[in-house]
Amino acid sequence: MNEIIENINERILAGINCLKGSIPVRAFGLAKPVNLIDDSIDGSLPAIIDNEGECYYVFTDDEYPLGFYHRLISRTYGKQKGYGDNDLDAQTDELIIVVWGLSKQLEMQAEEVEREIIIPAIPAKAVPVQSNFDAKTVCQTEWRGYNYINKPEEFIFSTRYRISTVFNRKCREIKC
Amino acid sequence: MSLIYKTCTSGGQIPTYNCNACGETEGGRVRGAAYIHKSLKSALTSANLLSIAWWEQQIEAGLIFVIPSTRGTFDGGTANTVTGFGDETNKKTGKTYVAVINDANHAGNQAFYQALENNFADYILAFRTEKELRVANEVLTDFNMQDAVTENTEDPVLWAATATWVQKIPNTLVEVLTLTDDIKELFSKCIDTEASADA
Repeated sequence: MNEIIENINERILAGINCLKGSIPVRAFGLAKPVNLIDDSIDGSLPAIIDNEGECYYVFTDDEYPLGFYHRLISRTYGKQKGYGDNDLDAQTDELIIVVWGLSKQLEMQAEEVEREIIIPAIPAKAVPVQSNFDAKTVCQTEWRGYNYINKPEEFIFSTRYRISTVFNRKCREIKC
Repeated sequence: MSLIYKTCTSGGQIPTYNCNACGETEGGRVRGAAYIHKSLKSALTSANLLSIAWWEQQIEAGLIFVIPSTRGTFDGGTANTVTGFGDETNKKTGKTYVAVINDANHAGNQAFYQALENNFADYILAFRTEKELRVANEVLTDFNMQDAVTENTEDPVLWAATATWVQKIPNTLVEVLTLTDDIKELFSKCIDTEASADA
């Protein structure tokens, strides 16, 4: 999954570079919701969390015309016919890539970015599922408990995609 | 002198039935197969078939080819009958068996399977299920190899062998032996005869 996320990011950056030249892009990998509790709000917002627990903001930044991050929504498991004594495990990861941008600086609208840059960046190993162009619902999902209101020239959308892998559980056993 | 009325089984006796009170069953799938040269037919005793040393010796001699970790089916046999005699409507002469063995080791095995297809009549099939080893008592009467390709890019291309043989009365059932751990391992892992020859 991590390799595919890196691959998607590289392809997005290459796509941007091809269409718009060298512009600053805020690209992130797998973000997680960070819970915040203050006096009045019990909510969460997306952030990259490193192993030390440091959190890095991943959402909109006026200094960048485009940015994006990924989130793992769910992981489901199933069985697949194997060989010999074993059956294989099938793992399906549902992810979204949340994209935000400033249409004036980028000179592109959300639908164009999705169609020309994001969807082609998803490699064959992953399957695009659905894109949500309703900025309000995307923000409500990403900024839980907060009322994030995007500026008119700021677009926000998300694209859900799926990665399916088959693995042999024995190969993942830890051998100390 | 009194007359003896002969029956098929010795003394007309039926062996004791074995009932498993714990309800343990045998798991399906043809999980591994072996092609045994017909020259070993008389040596296919339970003592030999349950001896890892015997198997290893025959494999190194090139008389047995083991295909480990397969996926496949066994039809259990279809009776072959002819018109009966006396009061019998039909007379069973034997059973025809068909096993399908799917081998995921596609690369580099065309020559192997071509040779097997050309010389199937020289080989006897053995295969394992969960805990049991089944060994035919006659050579193959038909053997067809296929490596079908589907449209789905994720589907593996397999070597699918359809092996057919006939067992005649009175031994119409395929012999079933309980696997030992080492024989089970033989049918589960790739083995290298060159490495063992070097050792």
